[in-house]
Amino acid sequence: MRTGGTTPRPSTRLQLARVALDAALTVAGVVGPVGALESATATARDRVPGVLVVALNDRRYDVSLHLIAAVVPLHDLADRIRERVVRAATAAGLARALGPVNVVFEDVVAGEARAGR
Amino acid sequence: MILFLRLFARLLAFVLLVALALLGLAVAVFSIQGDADALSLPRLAEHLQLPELRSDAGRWLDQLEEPGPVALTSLGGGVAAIAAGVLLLAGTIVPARERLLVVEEEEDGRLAARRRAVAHAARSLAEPVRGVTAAKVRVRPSRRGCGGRLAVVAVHPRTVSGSEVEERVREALVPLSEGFSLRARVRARRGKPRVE
Repeated sequence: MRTGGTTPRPSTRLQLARVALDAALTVAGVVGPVGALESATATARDRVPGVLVVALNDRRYDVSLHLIAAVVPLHDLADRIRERVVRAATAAGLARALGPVNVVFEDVVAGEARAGR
Repeated sequence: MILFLRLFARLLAFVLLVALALLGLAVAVFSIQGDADALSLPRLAEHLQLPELRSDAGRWLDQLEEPGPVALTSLGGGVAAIAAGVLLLAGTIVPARERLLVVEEEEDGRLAARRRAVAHAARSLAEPVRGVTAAKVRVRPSRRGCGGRLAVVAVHPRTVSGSEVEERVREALVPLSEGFSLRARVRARRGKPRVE
């Protein structure tokens, strides 16, 4: 049955991917996401690079961020990213769906530290 | 190595699939007519020289039953085929993704980094150290649990003492090695004099 051309509501998985990536990119020291296909959340219409969202068996989602960082203390950066993701998910009404937030630094590049938004 | 095997296995699979598709197409085309007409299967077998191939294979198999150089060659061929099969299986089954350096594994998530990322961070800490002209870094994640090993070779000119360089680089790496549970091993190496 056609719905008269209305855009379907994005799934929780996709919403979480977008929220997590947007939040991570606002943290100073994060240069960007990796573009690899295996580290992306994709649907038939959309693709969110650098974040993999996997459903768990308790209705929550495991969020893995695959990021490129600037030369900064990575441990602190990961803590700040996690904190920002949790806050953004809560603000978006997705706190109950958010499970563990994994941070994987795929690369570190010099001289590209970006100011957080 | 595994990357190469994966690439080779994929390439071989592609070539075999193309060959199979072409063979299927040829069989389909040569099934249009019967008997020994131009587009019949017996004619396709003639084009592919299958009768000659059958007699050659029969002669070869006869030689194989007797002891001699052909038997030894075929034994070698069989062993090589098994080895090639095992390598192709490895290329198909073994994952190509490298091991991650896990820094922290807790209920609320995992913090990990690729070896390349940690190596870049270590190099950026080691290279600005006084007396260091270049740094080579190798990161080895632990097979079990968190942390790993960090091996750094710091290149220095002959005017600077190697032990001093090692000490300074070790100090510079402390934030990284402590933060990532890495056992750092620093070795100083005198650089070759450059002739310009």
